[in-house]
Amino acid sequence: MVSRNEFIEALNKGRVLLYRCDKCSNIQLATVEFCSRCGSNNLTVVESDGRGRVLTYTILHVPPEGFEGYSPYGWAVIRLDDGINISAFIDIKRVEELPILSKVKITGYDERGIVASIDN
Amino acid sequence: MNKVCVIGTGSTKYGKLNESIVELAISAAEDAINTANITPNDIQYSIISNVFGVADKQVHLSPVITTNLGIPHVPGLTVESACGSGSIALREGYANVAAGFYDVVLVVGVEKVTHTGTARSTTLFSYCSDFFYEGGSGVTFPGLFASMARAYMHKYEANEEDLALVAVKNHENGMLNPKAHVRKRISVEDVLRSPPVASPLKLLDCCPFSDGASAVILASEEFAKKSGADYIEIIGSGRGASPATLQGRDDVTTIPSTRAAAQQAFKQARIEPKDIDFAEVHDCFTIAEIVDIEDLGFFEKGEGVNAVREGITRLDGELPINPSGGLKSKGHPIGATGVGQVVEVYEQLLGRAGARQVKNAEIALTHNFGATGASCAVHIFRRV
Repeated sequence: MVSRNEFIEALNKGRVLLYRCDKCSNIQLATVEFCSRCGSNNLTVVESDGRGRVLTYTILHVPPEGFEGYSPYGWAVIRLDDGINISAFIDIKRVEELPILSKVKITGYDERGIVASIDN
Repeated sequence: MNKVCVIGTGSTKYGKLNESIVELAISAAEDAINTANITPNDIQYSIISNVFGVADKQVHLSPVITTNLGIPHVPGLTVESACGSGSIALREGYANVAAGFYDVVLVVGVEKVTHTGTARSTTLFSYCSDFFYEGGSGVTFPGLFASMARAYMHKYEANEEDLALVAVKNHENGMLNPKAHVRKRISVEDVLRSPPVASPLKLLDCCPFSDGASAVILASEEFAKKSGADYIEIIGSGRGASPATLQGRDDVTTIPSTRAAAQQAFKQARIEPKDIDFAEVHDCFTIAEIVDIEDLGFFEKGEGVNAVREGITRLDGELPINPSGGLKSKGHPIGATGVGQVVEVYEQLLGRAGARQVKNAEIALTHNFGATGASCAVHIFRRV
């Protein structure tokens, strides 16, 4: 089992840890402990390079506590090239900066949570 | 399984209220007990629906409420399922009566959070998301539904004016509801000009933070008949679940838990969406009402906007949606909302809804979900 800390350490290196099911080869985030397709508990860790495209996003203007200093900022749902989705804080201020399907990359984890950047 | 009936209901106003969480709950329960023409001693089980009792320094609510109703010997529990707590508490009450464990169950939904202020409430509510992937990266509930709205507008032909029509309609209905939190007529222009909260959603696309409590008394049909109270019957009950995150879904423009819960409820009731006369659905944000009416089977995917544009879901339309004013105008005390929907249905089906009465209403549906729809319950009611 990948611990939360291991998952975060990988994010800090711009990597997303995934599981590949030994039984059916299904890929999922390494926070899901049984294969969501076949239920197997035998999962192998694989690494994603955190690259993907924006599926959808928003720009927050009314932030929760702790995020006031960043406002406005973006939050996006991202389809990694590996076919798995993840979500992340993204430092953009205006809608035009991030059309749907823009290329992005996971770059780290800090007080802003999971962080992604535009990938040029 | 026994037939289950709603024999009485009660509700406080929803709004920024001064009363404590316990006072609110007691007030709603008192009205429900009196409407049901019972005394508290008839109650055998107490289900409280609440999320943030901590904000008013009170958890373990059931014993405190039953004690203050004079029935401290009645066992109970608190159900927490984010904004879906109310309908899910109702479902638990329904299941207990249907299975014959209890003949009379009190269900009280309550929330008291406005005193914490917008920033704190926004933060607390973000804990209802999958925090590691969502709230923890700075997204709020408006942000999650804004992401859903962006995806919907990208996939289907819809724009911000369409979303605004939902808010305008629900505010019109709320003007006819003396207990609504926000009683203010608004225009599409007002919505479009309101301050951005999370793009593309603006302030008037969002339901308010509200305090309030609603209560219902559930009873077996046998008890209902003997009580002499006016009652309505629950003819369908369904549960559903979706991935906790938006990222976990193949398509963020649909909420799988709604579809599952609705299918179960319709199957049990042996009716179809076209048989529903009106519905109270979960419009935490304008986009949610559009997605809900599609997921419930009233309209095809992508067609919900047309229904709103054509006025089909207005109070005077073919299928009134949210005659109470919905979460948008009636308010959204998150623990109370799902129970409050049943109060509206009860009043409507018994012809007591006053200026917002839906004519010839026989069969109604309530739909309520938690977070971005990770949990959901749908119930169908029939006039007896």
